[in-house]
Amino acid sequence: MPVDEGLSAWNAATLGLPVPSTQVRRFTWPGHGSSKAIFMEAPSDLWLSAAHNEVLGFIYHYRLISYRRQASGLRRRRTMIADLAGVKNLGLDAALMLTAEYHRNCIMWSKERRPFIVDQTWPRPIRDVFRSLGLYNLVDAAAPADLDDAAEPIDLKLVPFVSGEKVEGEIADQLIRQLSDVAGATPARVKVYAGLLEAIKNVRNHAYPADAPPRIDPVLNRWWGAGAYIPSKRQLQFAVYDQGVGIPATLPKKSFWEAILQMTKPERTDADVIEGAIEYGRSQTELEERGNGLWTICDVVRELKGSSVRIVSGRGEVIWSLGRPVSKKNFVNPFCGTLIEWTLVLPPEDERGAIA
Amino acid sequence: MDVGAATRGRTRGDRMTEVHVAEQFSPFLGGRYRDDGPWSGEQFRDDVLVPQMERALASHSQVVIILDGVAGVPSSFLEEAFGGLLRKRKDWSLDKIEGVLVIQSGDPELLPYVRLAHEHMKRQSQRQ
Repeated sequence: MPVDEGLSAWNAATLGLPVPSTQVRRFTWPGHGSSKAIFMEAPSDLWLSAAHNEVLGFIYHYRLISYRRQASGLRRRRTMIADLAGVKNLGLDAALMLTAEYHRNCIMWSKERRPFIVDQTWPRPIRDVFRSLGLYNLVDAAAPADLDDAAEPIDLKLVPFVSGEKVEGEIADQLIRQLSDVAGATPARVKVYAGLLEAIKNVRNHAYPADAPPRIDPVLNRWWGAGAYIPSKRQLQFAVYDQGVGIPATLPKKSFWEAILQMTKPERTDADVIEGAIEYGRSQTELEERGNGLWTICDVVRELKGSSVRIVSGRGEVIWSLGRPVSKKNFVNPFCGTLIEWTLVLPPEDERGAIA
Repeated sequence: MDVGAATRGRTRGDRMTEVHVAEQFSPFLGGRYRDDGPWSGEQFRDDVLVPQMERALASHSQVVIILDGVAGVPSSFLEEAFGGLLRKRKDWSLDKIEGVLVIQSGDPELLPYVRLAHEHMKRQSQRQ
């Protein structure tokens, strides 16, 4: 990998983003004794929706510290530990992104060099969430100790993450079944399956092109999925995340790109382009073989009042829900992949019989 | 999953062979091509649908594809399996296929895909 080009791309992507605090501290790990590591502080809102730039800065710097030395050909990388002691709010989005980073570390390195979890100072609810998500299983860490029982639990019941390289329906269905178990129901189950597989198919076919620009971190051609139930809001959330080049970067190669250009204003942003791709798919008949992928993803929530789909990719974010104007945002820095997150509002308990 | 069983199907008398997709192929239908991952539309078409159709055409019987029990039907799976049937066997006309092939589901959530499968075949027929 051309390191200089990868580092230049990293510098350009992160220009102006908050830089997480780092400290070199000692830590102990079973079998390793006492060692020094770089502890990188996660933002207090580890939640992309609430603190987009802070989370993005954290993830990008996690990648820099994890892979810069490896990319430079230096054998020994610095041990880096994500410090979640200061995290007060946690979202499914950022939890999935961080878990994907840990998972990639584990795939890249042998067992002896896998990332560590030093969680003694993490708030208990944060440890519980990452335990539910399967982070501890990844690194063969002991289950977190129950230190501060009085801590208020986070209103987020996560299910173990799933990941794959191909379009694997059984893995997607595993996620749906786990969500049903934790929430008591999954509405529009057949459409949810179709939407998840469409998102996974997009990763498989487009997220990691052979001619992607140089980058500092290794490319695994992989997708990650996770889900959560938020009891207080009766919301079911699930997401698919990849570390690829992003939807706006891949659309110009598509046969329907000209049609999207005609649907958007000349000074189009990444959010405009994503919205254009959704609307293009919507305008096509369901028989079309190409160009209706993002619409299939949005179609999951078409009959579910109050539900929505959020697509974060490139520099854009689009939130689509039935009967509401499309919500669009644009950011200065490009997102580190693509995140598609569905939020489904479950009907009250007494109306659930029809959807379970 | 036993693709062989799906290839053989379940014969009802001399006139009809039922293929229960979820039991005899997989409940977890995948993407378009084999290379995309397991249980693709291409795999279903080539390993199940075409052999069943050949047998049915030779014996003047019907093939009944039953979708009940699948987790969902991805759009690219459906197009490659059914639209792709006419691409794969250009010697089979739409009328010939529809005279033999029945697609069914008793699940209201899956019914739209039954209609869509027929429409994919019709669309492909018009293109050829």
